[in-house]
Amino acid sequence: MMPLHRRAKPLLGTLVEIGFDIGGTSPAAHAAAFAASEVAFAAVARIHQRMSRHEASSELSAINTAAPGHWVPVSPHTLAVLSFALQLSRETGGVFDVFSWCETPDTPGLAPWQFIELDASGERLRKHPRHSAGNAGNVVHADLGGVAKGYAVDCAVAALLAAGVAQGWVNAGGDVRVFGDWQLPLQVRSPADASFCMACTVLHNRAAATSAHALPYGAAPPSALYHGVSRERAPPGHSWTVAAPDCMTADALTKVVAATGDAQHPVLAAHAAQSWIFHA
Amino acid sequence: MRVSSAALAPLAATVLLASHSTAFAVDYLTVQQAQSQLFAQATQWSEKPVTLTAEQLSALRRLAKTEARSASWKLLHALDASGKYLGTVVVDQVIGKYELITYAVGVDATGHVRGIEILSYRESHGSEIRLPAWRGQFTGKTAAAPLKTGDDIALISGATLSCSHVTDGVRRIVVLLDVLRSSQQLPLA
Repeated sequence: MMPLHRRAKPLLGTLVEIGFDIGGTSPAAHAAAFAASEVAFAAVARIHQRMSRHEASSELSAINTAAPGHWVPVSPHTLAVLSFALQLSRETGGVFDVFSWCETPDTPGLAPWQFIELDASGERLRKHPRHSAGNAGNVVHADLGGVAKGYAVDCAVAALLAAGVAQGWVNAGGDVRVFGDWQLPLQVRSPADASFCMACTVLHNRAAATSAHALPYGAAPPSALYHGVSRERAPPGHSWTVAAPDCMTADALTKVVAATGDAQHPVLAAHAAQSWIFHA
Repeated sequence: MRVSSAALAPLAATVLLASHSTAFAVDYLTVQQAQSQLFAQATQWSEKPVTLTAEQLSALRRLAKTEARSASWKLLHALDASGKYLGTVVVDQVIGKYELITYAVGVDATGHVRGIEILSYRESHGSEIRLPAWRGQFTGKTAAAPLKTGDDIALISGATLSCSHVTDGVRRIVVLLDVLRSSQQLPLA
């Protein structure tokens, strides 16, 4: 499967690697390969800019700082991620939730995601005011974390396909997607010692992601693990890998498996996904 | 190490339980490839070694809010056909907990980052990554003469390795060039 174009850049707080079949050995083929990976990296950077919690100019920041009741316009990309997140919240009864309370809720029985309303036009969303208090205090904020990372991988793959790339992969710090004819082995870092890997599966037109509560990373567990996981603490020394048709789904479902400890959670089959739990 | 599940599809049959050292290495780009990606319009390059004075080193440490690391740097100045200075590429290495990353950063004539390219990634288990002998084995290895260990493609998932040391390294280089620019040690734009 040569010649191979392989390139990496620091994006999304990690290393994003793109690899694909150049399909030729001419200088023109190599130049086209650079152009294709450039477009794919740009797609990743764009998603990061829109959906980062840390970028003040991101659409996510606009949503998080908007007053309840106020409609916030969102781009199709952000909407795709948010509507998928809300769908998964519904399907899992709130086990998966990218929203969390800004302050202690006084609305027993309601979960953060239930305060979000998507407009029928599909171009905007808003937060409800806190029902019982009826005031305009901010209710919830979102952290798309790994789900946006998975979506960025999907967008990079779409960009490569649009550029005429036949087969390859994108790996954003462990959020992986393989496309085309290639079947590539997936290894998972040991949650007990990240310098060791275990063979997990073979990916063929499929994505995978892993959430880890790894032991050697010290007292502060990776915060991404807890995003959208109903605030439950998953046990240390564990990691949860999910393979799914797309990377956004794979990443989101790792949170469900981590939170429930159930590698056969019904939502996995509903999304044509499978999971593995690794522990020391 | 155990795996406790539970897959729903036949792919699960491929699971192997043995864990093994990763210790893998990937070469992405040569320095030359990175140079032409970072400054596509450059037609000539001028290699310029610089040694920082004690004052410059202390300014670098203070402004970059990180260790200055070294007084000696190699700058690759990009020039267009008319000899106009476009910017500079600096190649650097950073060491993480398990990984040694070589990268190139392109900074334009006004001090803004144009782009970052990862040149190579070496991963090791254990503390050998901090040994000069381990790092030395990669000297002179490029994408044109890759290591055998990097030939197999394995996609790795798991605890995300932070690239904050790359980010710190880039900041150090941007400040380094600012310090040199203010001492008139860079070509004029």
